[in-house]
Amino acid sequence: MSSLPRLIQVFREVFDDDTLVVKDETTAQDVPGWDSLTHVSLIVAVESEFGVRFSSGEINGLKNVGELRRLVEQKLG
Amino acid sequence: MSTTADLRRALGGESLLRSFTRGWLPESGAPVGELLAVLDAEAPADVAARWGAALLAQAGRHEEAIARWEAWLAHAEAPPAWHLAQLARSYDRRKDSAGVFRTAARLHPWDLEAEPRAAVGRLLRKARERGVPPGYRTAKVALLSTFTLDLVEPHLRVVAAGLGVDLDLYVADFDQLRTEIVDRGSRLYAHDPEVVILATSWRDVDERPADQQAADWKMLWDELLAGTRAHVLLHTFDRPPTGSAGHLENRLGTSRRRRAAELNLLLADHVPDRVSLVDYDHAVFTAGAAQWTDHRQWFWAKEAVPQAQLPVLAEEYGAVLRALWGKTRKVLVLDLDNTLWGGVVGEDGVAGLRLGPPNPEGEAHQAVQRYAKELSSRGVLLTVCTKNNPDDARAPFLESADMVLTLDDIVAFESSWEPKPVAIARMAKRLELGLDSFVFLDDNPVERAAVRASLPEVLVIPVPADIAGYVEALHRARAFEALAISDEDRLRTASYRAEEGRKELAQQVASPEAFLRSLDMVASVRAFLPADLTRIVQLAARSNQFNLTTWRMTAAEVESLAASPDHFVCTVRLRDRFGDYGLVLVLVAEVQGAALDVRAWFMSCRVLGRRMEELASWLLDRAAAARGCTVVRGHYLPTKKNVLVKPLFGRLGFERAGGDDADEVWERPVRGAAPVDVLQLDE
Repeated sequence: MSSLPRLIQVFREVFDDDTLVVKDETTAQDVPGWDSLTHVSLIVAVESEFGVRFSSGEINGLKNVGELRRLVEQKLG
Repeated sequence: MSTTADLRRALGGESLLRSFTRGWLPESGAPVGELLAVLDAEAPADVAARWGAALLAQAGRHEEAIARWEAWLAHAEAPPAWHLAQLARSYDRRKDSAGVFRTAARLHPWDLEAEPRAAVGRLLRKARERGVPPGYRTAKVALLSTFTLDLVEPHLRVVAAGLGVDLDLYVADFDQLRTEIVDRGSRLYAHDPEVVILATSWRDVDERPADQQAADWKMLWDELLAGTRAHVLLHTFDRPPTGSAGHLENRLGTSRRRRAAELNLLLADHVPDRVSLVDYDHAVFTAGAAQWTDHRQWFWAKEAVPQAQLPVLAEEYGAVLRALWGKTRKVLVLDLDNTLWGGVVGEDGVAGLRLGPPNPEGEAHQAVQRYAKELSSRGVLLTVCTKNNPDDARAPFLESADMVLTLDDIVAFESSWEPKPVAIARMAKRLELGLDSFVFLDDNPVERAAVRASLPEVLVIPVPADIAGYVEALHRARAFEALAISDEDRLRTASYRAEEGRKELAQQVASPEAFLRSLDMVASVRAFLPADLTRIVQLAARSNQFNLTTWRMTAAEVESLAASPDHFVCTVRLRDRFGDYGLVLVLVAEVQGAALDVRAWFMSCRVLGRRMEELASWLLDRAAAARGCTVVRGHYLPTKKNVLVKPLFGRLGFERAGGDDADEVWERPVRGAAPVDVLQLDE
């Protein structure tokens, strides 16, 4: 099962926007308020939602939401 | 997949309820009405209330969601933060700012989960933009840090809301702490803050001798104190989690672990009254340094405090702000059976109680007593509220060698079979303190619920089931935080007990006049003395009822008033044959043309009825005459709490001379006051 719906919910909470929709292709440029600091909040929120932990290297390499989603799913096995 | 079937399966599962509130429904597409019907018909009331509320909120039916949450929360002790976040969100969607503030104020230190608290803090920010609700004061606060601390903002808003304050917050850019302080043209000074928080961590400690490093911090706070009206909050320094010298770090003169410890002690001994140390080091220690260390967040965003720990830090700031903003509580109400000792004295007898070693439970009860005793020694009043026969209740105090508390530590002893809210209300009246000064510690959930329901101003500690956790639960409330500990604090219990002696005397003598004369009162009148600064500021913060203008003056303000030639600052101490009340009255007045304008007049309620108001009136008269004024002008600024002094000016021969409902102006010609003949003056 895709983790995208749960990811969307995390995005909505972090950006406090009930109607926010992100897709695999969405990047930081597409979402207002997605700066480097919110990025850390987002990562921390994703970690706590899915009970996973990312390394600095993994965070550095992320290009878009799809890569974040695949990283989560890979960690969840 | 049938949603109602899923729902049936999931009913009661806390974690499922949680994911349910986070988007399970939108994908399911089942009609809300159908799900609600299943809930109401099949689920226990508690589950139906919370799931129903979550469901209604998901469906955008916020009004109904709010009703369900509020009904459920009315009976909840220490409700989880994420429930309150759900409620705040529904209020936000209804654009109900007062609801958001009210809900934020219900978040409590017994659940410090970061995400829901941050969410509520962000809603507070939106709510204040729509308009700060009535009853909340806006405070200008600046936050300067040597690391990234932007994300503490929502948490700080939550803590402030709990203190009845809305924040106009300025957060300086990353690592601009020194730059902004040394530049008087910086945005920090333009913000005109009443509080400046300086956030630092072990990374700011270096290998130089600690006194040199302390001098650097002193230079920075001196600059702030000179350039702003602010009270400054400064962190103590935590210890680096790693150290190349290993177990020798403390023996190595130059290690940062050792320097941090030395620096903390130096700062503690040398901060002036307008600087408070936030014990960041202790916060890290109690949260666990391992929990506090997320090296990734430091390297990713220079965040020295992991986001999960931000509520802990905000609570730490809140503890100091509570004291600064005069919200400190003053009385701890203690239950006896199964709180101060294990067992029921009326049934088990003194010998049958579990108290003290070797019984582990008995030791835990003793620890509660010891903590209460410490609170008492620094000015917190202890009272007892128990459902017992009076003789039974007192017996352990008189007969048990394992009791830490004695009857001398207790300023009010209520033992009866009446409902506890009634007993506590009576106690408040007798001690002449507001119910919002009270904290209630009781093992019995029914009693706690009764007090919460009848006396919402009283802080009821949600103690755990195990007595071993009581001290920690009480400590977490941070209810008794003070800016400083004065001599008055140390003597407070003795002085309340002296009051009992006075009451007995009052019953013996013929008239109130004769009673006052028999007390042998001596009032010491002094101009401002620097040694009194702490007490003056403390009294300004704590006086609610006898306070004409409720000006919470800061140490800086007092000092500058005392230095100004146009101002008259005077204090009065009172003692009598039963004891010393200490400094109990402060007057601040300003010469404005022919009038002496009384800017502040506040008094400890413990000396009500001692003709101190007449003494003050006469002192003002004399000061006015000495300064060539022809009239004394007073102000009454009504608050929720100072109704007591509404008739004061009228009683003292002043006449209403304009102003409005928010600031009543009263005047009286000089030489309109009579001297007070029941006390002796010492000047």
